[in-house]
Amino acid sequence: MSFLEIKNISKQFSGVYALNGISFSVEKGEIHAICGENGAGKSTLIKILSGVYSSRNYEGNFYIAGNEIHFKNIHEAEKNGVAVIHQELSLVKTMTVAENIFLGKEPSKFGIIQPHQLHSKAKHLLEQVGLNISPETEVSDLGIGEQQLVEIAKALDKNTRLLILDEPTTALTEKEIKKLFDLLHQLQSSGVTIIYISHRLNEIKTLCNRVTILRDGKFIVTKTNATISNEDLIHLMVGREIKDLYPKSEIKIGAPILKLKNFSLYDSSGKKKINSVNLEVHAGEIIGIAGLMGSGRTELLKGINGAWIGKQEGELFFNQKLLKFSSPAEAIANGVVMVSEDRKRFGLVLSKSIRFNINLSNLKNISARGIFSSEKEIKQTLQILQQLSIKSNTIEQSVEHLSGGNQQKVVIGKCLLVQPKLLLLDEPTRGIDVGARAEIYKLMNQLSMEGMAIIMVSSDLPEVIGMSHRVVVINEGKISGEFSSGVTQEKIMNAATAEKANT
Amino acid sequence: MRPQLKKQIHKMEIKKIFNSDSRNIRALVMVFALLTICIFFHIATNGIFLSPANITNLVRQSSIVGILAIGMLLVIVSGNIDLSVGSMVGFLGGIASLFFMKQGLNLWVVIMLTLAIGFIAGCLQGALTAYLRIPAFIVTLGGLLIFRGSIMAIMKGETISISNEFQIFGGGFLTFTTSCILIFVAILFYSFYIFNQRKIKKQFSLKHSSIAVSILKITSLCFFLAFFLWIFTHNNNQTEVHPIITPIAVPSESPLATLPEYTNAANASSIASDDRAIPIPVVIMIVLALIVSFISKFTIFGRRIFAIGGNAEAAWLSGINIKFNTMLVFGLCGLLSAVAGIVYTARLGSAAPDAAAGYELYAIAACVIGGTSLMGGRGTIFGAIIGALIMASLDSGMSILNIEPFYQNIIKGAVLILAVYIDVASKRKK
Repeated sequence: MSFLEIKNISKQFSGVYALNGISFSVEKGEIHAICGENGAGKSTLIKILSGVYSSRNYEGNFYIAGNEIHFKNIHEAEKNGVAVIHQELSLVKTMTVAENIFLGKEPSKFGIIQPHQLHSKAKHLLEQVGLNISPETEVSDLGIGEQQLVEIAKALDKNTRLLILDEPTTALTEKEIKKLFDLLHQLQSSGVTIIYISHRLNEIKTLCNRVTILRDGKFIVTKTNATISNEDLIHLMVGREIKDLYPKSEIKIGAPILKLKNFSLYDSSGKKKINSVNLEVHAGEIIGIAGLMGSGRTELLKGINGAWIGKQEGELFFNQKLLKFSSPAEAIANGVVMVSEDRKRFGLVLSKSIRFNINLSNLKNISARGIFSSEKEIKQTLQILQQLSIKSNTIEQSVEHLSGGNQQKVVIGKCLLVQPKLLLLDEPTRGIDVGARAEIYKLMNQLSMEGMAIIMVSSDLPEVIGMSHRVVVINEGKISGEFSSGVTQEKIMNAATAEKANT
Repeated sequence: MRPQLKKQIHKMEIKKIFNSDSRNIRALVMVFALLTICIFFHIATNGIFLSPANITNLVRQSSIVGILAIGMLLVIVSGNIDLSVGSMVGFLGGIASLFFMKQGLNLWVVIMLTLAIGFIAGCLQGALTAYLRIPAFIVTLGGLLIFRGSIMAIMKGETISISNEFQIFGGGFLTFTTSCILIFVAILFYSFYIFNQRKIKKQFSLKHSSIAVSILKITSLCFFLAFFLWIFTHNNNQTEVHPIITPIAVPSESPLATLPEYTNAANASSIASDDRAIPIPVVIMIVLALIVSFISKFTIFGRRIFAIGGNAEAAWLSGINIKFNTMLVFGLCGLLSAVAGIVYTARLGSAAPDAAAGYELYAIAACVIGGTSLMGGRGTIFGAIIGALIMASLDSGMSILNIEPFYQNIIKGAVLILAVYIDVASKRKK
C-alpha cells in the first residue's frame, strides 16, 4: 500500500465543487508534484490533508501508512506528522528564530520556558536545514529565502512524515532555490514524503518523481516525470475547450491613450517588481494581461493608477502627455480608474450603502461648493443601477449583503461614474457566477466600442483569450509574450512559466 | 411543513423591516434608554428630576460635553481618536481669558483668536497623525500633556476671573422672543428638509415615508421644542423656590456637575434681564450639532470622513485625499474644543489651569454610548448628543439622590460598558 492514499475526496463550497471525487496515491519517500491552474483545487486539497478543514466538512477519505485519517484541526495533523509550508510565510516577524520554531510548543518546565533547551534544539534544527544563523536573530532581519528555511526547520521539529510545500519558490532567488532543493532531496533520502506544488514547470521537472494534474476540481492523471513533456503538462492542465461565453467585439482602435516606456517599479526592499515594461494601449482596445500570481500583474496596474507606493522608473504617457500619477486621486482626475482585485478590501466601504459607494469617486460632479445635491446623486445612482443591472430593492441597502456579482458591479459603477478614458480591471470576474460574468463581458465590449481603453488582468485564461484584442503575458515583472491573434492557452502558459533564461 | 414555512417567511419579513431601518431603530433605542433613565430618576427623586429647573440645569450641564462630543464624533468616525480635547478646553479657555482680561482685547476679537488657535492646534495634531503617520492615540496623548502643561506655565497656576460681558456665553439666555423666532425658523427648515427629501425620493419612485409620517415627524418636533421652551421659561421662577436644587451640583465631583450653576445664573441674569428662555450654551450646542450633522450628511468632506473611517484603502483608491481630510477633521475637533473652552470658562466665571481635566473621556463615552463605532465609519451626531444627555442625566439623577461620587463613577463606567455590549451583541445577531 502507498504511503498516502487519497480516495474519492470531494469538497463543495455553497454547492460548487472545489474538489470532485479525487483519488490518487503518493509513495513513501517520493517528491510528488501537484499541478493545475488557479482554481483547480490544489489549495483545497492541501487544506484537507493538513486539517484546516475538519473531516466532517468533506466527503471521502485519505489514508496515511494504511491508517484511515480524520483530522479535526491543524494541531492533530501536526501530531500525525503532516506539515505544510504555505505560500505566504506564517512566521511572527517580531520574534526570534528560536521562538518561532517552537511557537506553541516551547520546551518548558511548569510553564516556565527553558531558554537553553530552546536554543540548543533550535540550533540543531537550523543546522539540519543548512542555515548558519544564530537562533536569537529576529525573523524580520532575515531574507525571504532564509525565512523559508526557518519554516522548514519548524516543520522538521514536528517529526514530519509528510511535508507539503505550496509554491515555496515565488519569492526566492535562484541560489536560494538551489539550496532549498538540496535540502528537499536530503529530506527525501531520510524518508520524508514531500508534496510539492508549483506553477514553474522546470522546477517540477528537476525536482519531482511524479506529477499529478488537477483541473476544475477533478483528478486528470498521475504521470512519471520522465515520461511527460512541458507541452503535455500544459495541455493537461488547461485542457478544456473555450466556450462561447465571450462576445468579442469588432476592434475599432483609436488614438493611443497610454504608453509605457521602460516602466519599472520597485518594492520597499528595492526588488524590481516590474522590469522595464513597454506597452501601448489605444482607445477602444481591450488588453488582456496574463501571468502567474506574483508575476507583477497587479503591480503593473497599480503603477499605472498611481497606487504604487514604492520607487518608480521610466515614462508614462497618457493622451500623448508625459505624466506621473502620485496618487489614485490624480489618476482619476486624468481619467484612469482601477477596479481592484479584492473588492471587499480595496473596492468597497462594506458597511455603507450602494448609494454611498457608487458616488465615492465622483463626489465633485454631484455637488456645488462642497454640498451635494441629493437629487443629482440619486439620479446618477439609479442610472448606474439600470445600466449595470444591479439587483437590489433599495439604493440604501448596505453593500455588505449584496452578492459577489452585484458588489463587483457597484465597484465598476463607481469607476464608470468618473467617465474614465482608461479602465483597469484586476480579476474582474473572480468569485462571480456565470450570469454576472456574461453581463460584465457585455459591458466591457460596449465600453470599448464607445472608445474606452481597457486593461484587464486575469488568471482565467479562457476569459483573457475570449475578451482581449491583444494579450500581454507577464513573467517575473517582464513582458514575456504579446499576442494579437492566434493566441492559445498553451502559448500563454509557455510564456508565463518560462524561466528567466528562456526570455 | 407548510405552517413552518409560513413562519419562516414571516420572520424574514420582520427581519427585512428591521434591517432596512436599522439606523432609525438604533436612534429610537437610544431615545428610549434616555427616557427610561429620566422616568426612573423622576420616580426615585419624588418628582424633582423632571422639574423645569433640573431639566434646564441638566441640559446646560451636558452642553459642554455635547459640543466636545460633536468634534470627537468626526474624529472617531474617521478612524482616529483625540485624547487632547479636555486639555484643549483648559488651554483655550485660559488663553481667551488672558486675551480678554489681561490684554484687554475686544470680546469678538478674543473669540475669533481663540477659535483660530483651536483650529490650528487641532490641524497640527492632525498633520502629525496624517502626514508623519504617528498614531493619533500617541499624538493626542502628547497633546493632552503639552496643552495642559503650557497653560499652567502661562497662567503660573493662577485663576483668572472674567467679567460679565464674557460670561454671557456660559450663563446667558436668549430672550423669549428671540427663542420663539429661532424655534420657528428651525421648524421651517426641518419641514423644508423633510418634504424636500420626500419629493426627491418620490421623483425617482424610491421608497419614501408617507405624508402622515412626515407630518408626524414635524409635529413631534414642534411639541418637543414647545415643551422645552415651556421648561426654560418656567425655570426662572422656580430657581429660588426649590430649596432642594441648590445642593444638586455640590456633592458631585464629576466635571459634569461641579460648575457653580447658580451664582453664574444670577450673574448672567443681570445681563440678560428677567426675560430668559433658552440658555445660550444649549443654543450653541444645538446650532453646532445641526451644522455638523449637515456637514456629515450633505458635504463632500463629510462623506469622505465616513469613507476613510469605513475603509481607508478603498477610499484612497477611490481618489480621496486621506491625509488632508484627516488633518481637517482634527482641525474641526480643535475648533469645537475652542468653542467648548469659551463656554466652559464663561460658565465658571473664571479660567483655572486645571479646567476640564478628563473631559476627553466624557466626550468619547458620549459618542460610544450614542452608537459610534471606535473602528470608524459609523456614528451620528444625534447619537453623540443623546449619549451626552444620558451621561448628564445619570450625573444629575445620582447627585439628587445623594449617591456618593465614587459610586457615581462606578455606575457610569458600568453603563458605558453595558451600552457598548448591547451594540456589539445586536450586531453579532445580524
